[in-house]
Amino acid sequence: MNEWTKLLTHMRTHIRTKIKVTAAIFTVTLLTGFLVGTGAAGAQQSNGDRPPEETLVPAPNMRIRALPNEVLITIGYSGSTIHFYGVAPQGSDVIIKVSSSPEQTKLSKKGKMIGAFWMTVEQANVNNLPSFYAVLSSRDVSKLLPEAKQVELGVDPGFKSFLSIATVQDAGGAAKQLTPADAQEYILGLENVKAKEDLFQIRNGAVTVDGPDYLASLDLDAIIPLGDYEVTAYAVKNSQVVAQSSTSFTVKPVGATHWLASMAVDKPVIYGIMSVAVALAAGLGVGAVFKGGGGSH
Amino acid sequence: MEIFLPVANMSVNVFVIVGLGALVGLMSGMFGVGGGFLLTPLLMMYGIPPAVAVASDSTQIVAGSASGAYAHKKLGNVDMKLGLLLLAGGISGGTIGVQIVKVLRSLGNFEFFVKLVYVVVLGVVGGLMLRESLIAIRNLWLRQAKHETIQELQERQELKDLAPLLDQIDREITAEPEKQSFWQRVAASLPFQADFKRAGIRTSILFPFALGLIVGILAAIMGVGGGFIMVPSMIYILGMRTVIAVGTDLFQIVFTSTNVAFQQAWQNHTVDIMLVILLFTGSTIGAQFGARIGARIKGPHLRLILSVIVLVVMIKLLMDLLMAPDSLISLAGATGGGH
Repeated sequence: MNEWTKLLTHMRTHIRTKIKVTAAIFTVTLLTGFLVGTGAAGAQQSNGDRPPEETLVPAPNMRIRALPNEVLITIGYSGSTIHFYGVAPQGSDVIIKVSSSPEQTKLSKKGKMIGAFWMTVEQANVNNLPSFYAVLSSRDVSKLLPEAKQVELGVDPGFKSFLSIATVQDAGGAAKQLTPADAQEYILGLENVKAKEDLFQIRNGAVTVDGPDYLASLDLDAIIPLGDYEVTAYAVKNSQVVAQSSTSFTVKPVGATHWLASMAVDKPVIYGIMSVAVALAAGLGVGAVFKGGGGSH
Repeated sequence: MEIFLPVANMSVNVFVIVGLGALVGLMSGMFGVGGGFLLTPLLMMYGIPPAVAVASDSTQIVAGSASGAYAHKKLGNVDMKLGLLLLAGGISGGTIGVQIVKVLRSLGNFEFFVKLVYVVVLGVVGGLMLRESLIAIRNLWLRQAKHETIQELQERQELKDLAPLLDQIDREITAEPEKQSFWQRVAASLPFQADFKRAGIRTSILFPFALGLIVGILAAIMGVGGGFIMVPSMIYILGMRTVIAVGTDLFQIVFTSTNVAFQQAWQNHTVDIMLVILLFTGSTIGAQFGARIGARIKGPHLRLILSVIVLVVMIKLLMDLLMAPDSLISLAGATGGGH
């Protein structure tokens, strides 16, 4: 009886220990899994629009982040700054290319009419050119890479890479075929317009490299195209690209700005009635308050 | 202070935009007309996309003309009957004008035609007004000189009873030429004669309708409203008083601009309501100052200033046509119109 009791007690202790160990192992496994899971999810969240394969297999020696990765356009927006930072292989130069989504732009070409008057003689649409484009680099790009490579990557100072990407169609009254030379003239003309408005920028020396780290900032103007922006960083050593990494950021309207902008496009009839009603109410209100002739045209 | 315009999709300085509105309001307050043809180019120079500048300017005119028309109505300066006839003509003219624009556009060289018409019209209107105002100013001077001469004579006791003489001289100088103008004789010979009490004229109802029609066609082709053609026509051709011409013109513009503004918002999505509010705030302030300044300056002098402004705009447009541009390729501008 005494022996039997002893055996039972021993077995209970043994079983309890086993249960405890199993529970402990189970808990640890669960916790680890949970932590790993949330960690990965967290990482994915902070990466925003970055493609998932890059998250799983990050380039070991090249990384780029954009901060903030969302530019929110509120009613008081008057420009902002985006910072790019990351790591690159030791001793390399860094080129960062920032590009908004492509768009269609209508252009006019002037010519002489009746030998004296400068007038629009032709119109054309240029497709596939981004509305915003910037190349930031740690040193003069033309000294870092051979010209063919610059054009291939789209970082050449003359924006020549667009000559093969952009397409041009005649948009005048008479549908006519444009020669490649005409098309090129339009593309270069648009690039000039964009460069004048600071929507196409080349900024040598804008990237600071410090050991493996690099840092750059891009000032966004008050006039900034909305949408997604692709950002690619290239590490260049001995005239060769040794590593690259990309990220993205978004420029989007929020609040009243978003509401009005989307109303104007999605519900134009309601927006039109609203605009005219506001204008009429404002006008009649002022007319009732002030004496004498109000505004005219 | 910066504010973001949701449709123009850019940030602007509030004070600059309100200031531009005030400048236009000042002009409209002083002269009763004008301003719109300056505002759109000024907005474009500031960097507002052309299509948004044109459409928002049209919407701003809805507010401006509504406030002006309301104020003039209270003062009894609106001839509704005449205004509705002008409006009917204007709408018909606008419809015809849009079709003409389509044909011209398919023929090419549309822009050239538009600019040429614009330069010619501005030149003619500005030139006629300049001539008329200079004659009126000369008459003012002459009357003053005669007054002074007679006063001198009076002091020397050489003339006794001067009051009738002074009155006669005043009448000679200020009276409109008694003979009817060519257009007034044409109007009198047309059928459907009617009295326009507020305007104080008797003419054929076909006449204001035709005037509205022509201005409507021009407005559609040039992409501007016809205020600066309509008001001088009412004064010089129909023989109306300036305030009644301005009030009646504003009354019919409320309707035409409402139509244009709504079409722009509906078809082109280019009306920026924030921009409209800023511009109208400015023009309201400007119009109050303008009306006060306008009241202190004599009519002929006001018309002289306005004619010079119109001619300067004309010369600027002509220079644009004649001077070689900086770059042959540029962003395509917008067409279609405000006032």
